[in-house]
Amino acid sequence: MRFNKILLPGFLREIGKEGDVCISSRIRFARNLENHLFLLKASPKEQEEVIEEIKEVVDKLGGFEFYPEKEFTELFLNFLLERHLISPDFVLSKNRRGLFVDKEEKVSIMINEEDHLRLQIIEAGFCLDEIFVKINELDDRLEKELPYAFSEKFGFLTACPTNLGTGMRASVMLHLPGLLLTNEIEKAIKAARSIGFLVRGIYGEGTKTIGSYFQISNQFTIGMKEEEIIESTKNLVTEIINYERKARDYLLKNLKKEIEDRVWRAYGILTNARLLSSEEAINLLSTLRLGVCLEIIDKVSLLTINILTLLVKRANLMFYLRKKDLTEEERDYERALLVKKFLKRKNE
Amino acid sequence: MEENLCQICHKNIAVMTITEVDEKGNKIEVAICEECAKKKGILESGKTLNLDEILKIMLKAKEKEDKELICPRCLLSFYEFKKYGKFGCSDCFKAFEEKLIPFIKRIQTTLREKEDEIFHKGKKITIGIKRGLLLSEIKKLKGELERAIKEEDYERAAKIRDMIKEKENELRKNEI
Repeated sequence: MRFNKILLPGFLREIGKEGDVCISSRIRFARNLENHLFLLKASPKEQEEVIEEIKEVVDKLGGFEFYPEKEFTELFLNFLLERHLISPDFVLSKNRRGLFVDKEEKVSIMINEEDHLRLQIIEAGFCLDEIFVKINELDDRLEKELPYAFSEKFGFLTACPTNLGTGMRASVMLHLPGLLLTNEIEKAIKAARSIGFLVRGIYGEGTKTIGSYFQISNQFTIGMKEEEIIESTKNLVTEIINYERKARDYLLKNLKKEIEDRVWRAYGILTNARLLSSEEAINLLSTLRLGVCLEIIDKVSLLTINILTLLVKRANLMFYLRKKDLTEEERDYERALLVKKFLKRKNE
Repeated sequence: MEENLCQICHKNIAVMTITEVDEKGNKIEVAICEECAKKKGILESGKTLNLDEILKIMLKAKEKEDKELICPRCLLSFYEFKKYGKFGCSDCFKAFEEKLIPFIKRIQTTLREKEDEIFHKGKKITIGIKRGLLLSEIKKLKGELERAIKEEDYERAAKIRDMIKEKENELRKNEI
């Protein structure tokens, strides 16, 4: 598989704006074609036609690698999912699917997920404005060649009514250990919900989280301009970032010894363990990340921690090591080795 | 609405449906009013329907209405739309429009104050759906033309070429 040559997705190649709290920003557009039935009603043959039609147009744009249905093994799909290049629904979908990914692994185009087309751009740090300009441009270029399903009243016609109008979802991934440790997180989640945003824990089920990672996204898509949605998302995220920083300051001022102890214990385990599950690794890396941000520890860079947080996950671990049939016990062993190797290689 | 009238007396509003067997032995559903129901002995005289029963009947009538509202293109009914939460094609939006608006208001409520704010305010497509459709048809025909030439079926190729010309003319008209 061609992905073997690529080491890291775009959002893990640098630390972006507000990188102490914000890991990445992402925007996706949902689009459908007027000349085909939507996926609820499209036959497999029609689904193939959709792929063909879109492929012809995207190929002409250039710069994308195409992955057809036959390459979608369980492991490969999870590898892509862990990299946030596809959605959980794309993994589960029984449709004939297709995927385009650009060389930097920032832009992906899912075909036949829930809609005919899902465009997505993900980049490091807090950068919704920049992403919006890019995705809008890509959308404009596709729209010149593809008959998008659109109505004046309902905007871009999507399979699910929750995406109608702009078809746009803007989201950011935040690292919020401060709010979690000070028990302020529920307050932040409630406030966000009350103004039309969804907050969910990442890597865990529902609102639970592994490693204090949360995703915030707009819930509503119609009745506002794209720019207005971006603006209100930015305002909320800015507030949450400040809230998190205040919580971290509080911890440093009032619970310095306890936090230092946690951070150094995490470092101790990560550099000495012989077996590590992915959940344990992500949680410890999260604590270490907080320690780096609070300048408790300088033995490791933020970027290394971000990268490791991806590489310790099941599918990415196996792809990275090029050992695709490891058992769970073997993975725990290899994971511990990998983490140790990365952490001892200071600021590589 | 006429369909809500009792199918026996054709005067009162129907409050329930009963299953009858016609002369040929087929089961048919008949909507009837409370009075006729009493006459038929379905409801004991003097006893009125309780709220639960009325609600059930109303829900059933609504369900029937939803099942009968069908998109002519993809044949999805409004009932199925609500069941799956998904549309079947771009024509569903026209077919369901009336029922859709309150539905969208419910699921896409933000803190908007004005009712009309559930409608689209964002970017619009620039080339128009018709043009997009023509472009994709022409593209498809060009592929067929290539195939016909490869197979040395010149008669078919000529026909396809004419069709392409026709579509391209239409496209030009569309530009003006």
